[in-house]
Amino acid sequence: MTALATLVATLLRFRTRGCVVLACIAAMLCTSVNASALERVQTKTRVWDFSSAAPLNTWLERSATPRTHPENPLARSEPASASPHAARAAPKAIDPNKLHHIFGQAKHKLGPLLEKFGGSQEAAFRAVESATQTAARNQGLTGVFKTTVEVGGQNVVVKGTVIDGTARIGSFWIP
Amino acid sequence: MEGLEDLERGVLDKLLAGEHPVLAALREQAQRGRLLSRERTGVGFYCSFEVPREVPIVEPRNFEIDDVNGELQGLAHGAGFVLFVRDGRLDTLEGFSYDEPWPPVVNEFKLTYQREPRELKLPDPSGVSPS
Repeated sequence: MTALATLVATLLRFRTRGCVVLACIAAMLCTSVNASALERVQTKTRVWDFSSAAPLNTWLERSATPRTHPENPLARSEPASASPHAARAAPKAIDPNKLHHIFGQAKHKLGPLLEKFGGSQEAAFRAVESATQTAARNQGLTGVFKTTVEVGGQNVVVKGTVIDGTARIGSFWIP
Repeated sequence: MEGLEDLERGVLDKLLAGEHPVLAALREQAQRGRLLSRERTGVGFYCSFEVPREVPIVEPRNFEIDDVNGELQGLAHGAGFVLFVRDGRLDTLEGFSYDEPWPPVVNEFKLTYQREPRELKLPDPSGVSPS
């Protein structure tokens, strides 16, 4: 809109043909610059997959939208520039064989635990893994260990080992 | 017990070693029982047992023995084992790895207790009951 107004004003002020041509070129350049700026914002939005690119928005327009990842509400407190690191620190995928090994065994009596996590083996495993990591850190566990953690109101016995400071789960069950 | 592989037999023997009357009774069950099934999960195994009804059961009836660890050929971080006793009888032997696939073949292994000398704490030393 600003470019169009500039063009009209220029046309009214200078009525010679040469000036009209120059004014048209100036208007096209102005539009091009604006489009490039917008394109950079959109590109960044797609790359990071955030709902907005706040750092650029703060000077393009004052009403910056929250930097919220559509599938990760916890990312609210993270600066947009930290998103690549967050992606690198994503939790390691759980071996489906491990899930089957642990949850496919009736002797482990993990039904009540699974219920607490809506039947999601992965969510239940992550919760036990997190609780075990905390226990290992608090208790100073090293090497092969056996510990009991409370998850979802259930006491879960965990057998694991600490590798490079991280507790790795071998198996767990409810006694 | 018939049908067990070397590693499984070695683990079972190590888990049931000791003078405790419950361990002695479980050893008798192991001698007279049989392997019912074996499942390989990719990260371990399960062996299910069947013990004849006439063999005396143990008290308490439900507990686990899990103080044996293994160094196995093909496993960088070793293996763990759990023996489930249910209804007073040997029920299931579980083996598992930590964060790596179970090797397809295990020819060499070394078994140790979690603590040496062994500190096995059975839930209740009340012993053996008639079946």
